Amino acid sequence: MKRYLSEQEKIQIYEDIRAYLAEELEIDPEKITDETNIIEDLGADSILFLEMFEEFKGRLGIELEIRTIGQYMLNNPVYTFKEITQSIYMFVEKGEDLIQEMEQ
Amino acid sequence: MKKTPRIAITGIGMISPLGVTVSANWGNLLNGISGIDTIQTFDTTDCLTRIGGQLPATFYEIEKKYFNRHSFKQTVRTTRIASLISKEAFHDSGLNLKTMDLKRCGVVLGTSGAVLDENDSSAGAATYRIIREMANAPPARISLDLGFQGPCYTLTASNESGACAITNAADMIRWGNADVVIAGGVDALLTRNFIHRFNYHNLLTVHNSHPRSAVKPFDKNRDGFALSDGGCVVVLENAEYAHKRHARIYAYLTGYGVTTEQCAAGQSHVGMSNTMKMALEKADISPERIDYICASGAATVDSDLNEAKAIHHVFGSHVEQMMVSSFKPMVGHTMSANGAIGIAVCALALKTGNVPPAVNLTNPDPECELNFVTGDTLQSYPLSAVMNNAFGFDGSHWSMILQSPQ
Repeated sequence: MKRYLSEQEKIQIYEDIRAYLAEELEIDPEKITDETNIIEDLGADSILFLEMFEEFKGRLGIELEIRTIGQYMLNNPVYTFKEITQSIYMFVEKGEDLIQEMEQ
Repeated sequence: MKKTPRIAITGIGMISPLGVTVSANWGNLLNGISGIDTIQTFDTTDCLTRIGGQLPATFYEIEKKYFNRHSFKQTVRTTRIASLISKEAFHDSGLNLKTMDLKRCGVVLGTSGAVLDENDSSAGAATYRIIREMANAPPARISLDLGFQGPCYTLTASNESGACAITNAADMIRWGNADVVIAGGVDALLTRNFIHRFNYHNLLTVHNSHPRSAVKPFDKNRDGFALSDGGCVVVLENAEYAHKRHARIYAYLTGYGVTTEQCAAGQSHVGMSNTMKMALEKADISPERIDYICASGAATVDSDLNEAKAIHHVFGSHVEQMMVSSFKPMVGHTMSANGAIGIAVCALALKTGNVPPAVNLTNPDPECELNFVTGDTLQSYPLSAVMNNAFGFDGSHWSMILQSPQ
């Protein structure tokens, strides 16, 4: 079922993801900007992305299996913080519709 | 025909109950200080042995400093020890990642791989179970840290996995498959479960009231070793490669012997003799040229007797001059790290001219008479060739010969 995020909700998600990454990588949240490359600049790894999506899947009620998200990420890799936040907005908004898009 | 490369040791990293750096470990070893103490980290009420080699408090501070929350969740303690000692060894070697061909750099680590724990409820245990617990997690982490792209794997050979890894790494260089290999061993088996297992086989000391003097290799009152956590790696290099970059060389690893025996007691003086003879033959060196033996000295009744007999058999009258000591009274038995710590001790002995004393030898067993290094004071000896014995209680034996670069 489609869901639309308000600008206010997007800002909240953006800050929550930033706080989550800062806590996991033990860095100052201010160091994370839209253009920050999470792997190259912050020394993270692709597994962190999956763990993060699993965490936010629960928090935001994303109606997608983590396996589906993993498959999507393989074909549509994300690198920067902005790309990560955009993907999460999309997962929330499209939900299961993303599966149909992927099959097309 | 291409010349077989010589193997140089150019870097060392070590974490043990004696310290979290090579210099701390070496200082304590030379001063005969023991890291064996009453176990505080878990309940030992139902254990016969209640002492062991726990890592110092500084280790936990360093672990916290170098591993962020995310990395901590992805790793178990053995992997974190392996990562930290490899960084120290790499730094010590003076190698520069920017100028190295990373495809020619490998990692071989010995570990018991005994980290599987279905009941582990620590952070990340469920999510990262595979990458935390796979047997090759420690070397994989080292490769990840340094960006090495050559061979990277774990070898296991009971408590001599570290010796197995180092000799295999030396062969890897000899075969031309790598120029630089980080090799050694790591284990963190000081747990209630492992104490029960080793107690069952009467391998551990029960001198619980005197932890520091409990482990007594070659002494009449020896009754076993103390289990310890720890890790040690060395940087092995094709000597030609090391010379070209004007590296500081601790020692050359010139030969090794490896045998396995299947006698009822697990090991005998025959198997140990054959191993030492093979090492001498491979290094093309006569027994009289060995100045010091870093003995296996496990402090079990049979093992020490067999080792002393074997040394007499191989070295004959040279035993009167050749110095012998074991680091186990101080470090304890770190299992897979043991053979690697022995190599480090030998390399440091050749470099500095100092050897660790044979401590806790208050009533020497007349059946184990050797020229033990006595006295707690530092003394310089002109060493040119030394032997490291790593004799496993399962009958897997390694002897390695190191020679001075001078």
